[in-house]
Amino acid sequence: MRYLDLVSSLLLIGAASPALAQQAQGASDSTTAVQAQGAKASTAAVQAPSAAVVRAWTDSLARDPNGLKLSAADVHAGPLSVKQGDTVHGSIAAWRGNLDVSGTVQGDAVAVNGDVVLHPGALVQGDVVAVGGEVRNEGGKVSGETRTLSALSMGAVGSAVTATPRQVTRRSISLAVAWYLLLVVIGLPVVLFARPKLEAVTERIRNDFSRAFLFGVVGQILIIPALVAICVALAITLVGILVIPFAVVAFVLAVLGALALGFLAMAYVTGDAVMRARGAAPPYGPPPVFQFLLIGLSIFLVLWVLGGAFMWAGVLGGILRFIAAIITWVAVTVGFGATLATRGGTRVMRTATLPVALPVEEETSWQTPTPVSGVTAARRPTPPPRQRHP
Amino acid sequence: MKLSSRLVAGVTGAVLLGPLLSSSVAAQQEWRTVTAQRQRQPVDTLHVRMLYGAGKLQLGAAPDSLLYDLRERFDAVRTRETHRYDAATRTLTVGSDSAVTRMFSLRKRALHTSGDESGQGSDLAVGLATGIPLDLDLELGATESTIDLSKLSVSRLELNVAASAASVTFGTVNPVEMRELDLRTAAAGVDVRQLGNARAQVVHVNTGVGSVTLDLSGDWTGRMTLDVHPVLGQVTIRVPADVGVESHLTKLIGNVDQAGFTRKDGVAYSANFSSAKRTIVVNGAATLASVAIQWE
Repeated sequence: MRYLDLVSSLLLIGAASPALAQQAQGASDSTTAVQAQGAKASTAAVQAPSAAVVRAWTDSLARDPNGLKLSAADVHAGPLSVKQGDTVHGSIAAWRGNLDVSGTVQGDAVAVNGDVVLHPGALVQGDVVAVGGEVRNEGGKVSGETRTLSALSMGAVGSAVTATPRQVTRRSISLAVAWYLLLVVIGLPVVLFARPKLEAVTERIRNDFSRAFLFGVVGQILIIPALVAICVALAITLVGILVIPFAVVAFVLAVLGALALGFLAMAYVTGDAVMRARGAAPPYGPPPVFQFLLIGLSIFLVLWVLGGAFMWAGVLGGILRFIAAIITWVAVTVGFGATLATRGGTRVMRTATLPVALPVEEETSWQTPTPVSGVTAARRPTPPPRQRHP
Repeated sequence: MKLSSRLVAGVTGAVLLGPLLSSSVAAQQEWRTVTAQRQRQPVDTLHVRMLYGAGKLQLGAAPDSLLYDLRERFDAVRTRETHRYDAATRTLTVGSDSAVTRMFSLRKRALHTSGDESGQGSDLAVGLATGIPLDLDLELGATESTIDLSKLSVSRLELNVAASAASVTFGTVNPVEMRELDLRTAAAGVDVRQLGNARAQVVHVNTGVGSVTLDLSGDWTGRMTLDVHPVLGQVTIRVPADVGVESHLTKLIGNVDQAGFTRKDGVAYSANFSSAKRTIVVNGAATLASVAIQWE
């Protein structure tokens, strides 16, 4: 029960982590670039945003369905004004400040966390956009569209800010759960219809773990060369060229199948080991393969859920995910190697123990050799009498 | 074994419930408001294509200085409303940016109806220029729509409504003749008021599993044709007292209520038909549906 409680607690942590991540997001300053929240421009000096922040913000603005494309070079920190008679050849954007336009802007006029004010005589030949502010038209002319956005709808695509921590956390946990469910769905028919093959691979893992790992590493290295060799061999025969697409598909399916079978076997071994360590495995009779499989898969799931749940925690999340990745890779490699060694579970491993030499007893050995002249017949051996307990 | 079974059940249950809990705990609404206006330009016709799949819609006249005026409020987590204007074809397209987004938007709305009932749902207000002929193509789903075409010049209207409640009003006489008015509904309730002001020579109504009410009041003259095809639905036609009606309606396991009409050569005529200065001709067939002609 304690184990069950632990697993449930970990999963609940994973479930609640997006909310935690959201709190972390609120405290983070890195996303303010893409989520302007209506703050008005300040007349005080505004610190110039870093190039990465500006790039992330312009990416977001370009991706927003109601946004527009803007060059980072057009963005300037603080209030801006285009005086009467002045002409801006291109677009102009004020970062955390108002944009006052009395002259001509041949491109777009944009304000981030500020207002765009169009004074009499102003001409904007492109669009006028205010993010987190408003557009006040006091007599200007706009050839394009006038838009106000309370905030951007899209995350940034730039390298500086790829996604919010909450989005990453949810995506990671969802991915782990999806993989778990997929493997469960694959595992059920394997247990039902290919149980001997699964047990053959499992046996290989138990008895020759290190060699299975070695086989797995070599096998992974040789996947691409083997595929190339097959294609080349088919191409040499000319007629085989037509078969190459089918061969490629068949090869990929075979590799995926081997990886899946191997990982399922490894999950089975893991589940079996855990339950035996707890003394919960049945002492006799066939083992509950599917239950062991589920337990093994759940352990791997917990690893990944933990890694995903702490994505918002920075380095800690990275370490957890790295550990999960290493453990999973080892499991996949060992399983893959065992699958290769057993030729997909069709070749049962020969045990290393020597056969016990039994004394040879012939059916007539109890008989005494009888000379021609004849002897007294020997007595046939009989089992000893049972001891009676009081 | 008992522990093993409990463990498997617990883990599986937690995995299945985890995402659900996660989504409910972390369910968050990120509301956005977007306004967009374009100053009035000399265009011969403004084409409007709208695909709106969730929320409340209000469509009416824009201020005189504007070609269009959009005001959207939406949850950026669930849906992404968008719009664009193509100056070359003079086409304004409004709606969700993808069908996938729209589908998820509808699904999530169904799961969060309480928020919508409290007025926290998405809404879209569209104002269109007066005095410019409008070619309207509106597709509405799961919406509550109020379309007020008063003061607008509507040259064509195609309205597709599904799983929605919509009211369409022609409060003033349409300055231009409407080439076509096509109304298609599915599982919807649509109320068209003062249709006589639309100046539509032919009105097509196709409805399935829903109800449509056509109010033919308004300032119109001459002859109007109604082409009505309800299936598993109900169409009610409200006719001013001075309008004569010529009915060619048929029914297939349905009901056509035209009390007071007289039949001649398979055509039903209202009592005032011969003396009426303005008339309507009603064609169509009711299939497992009912059509009622009522006098105001």
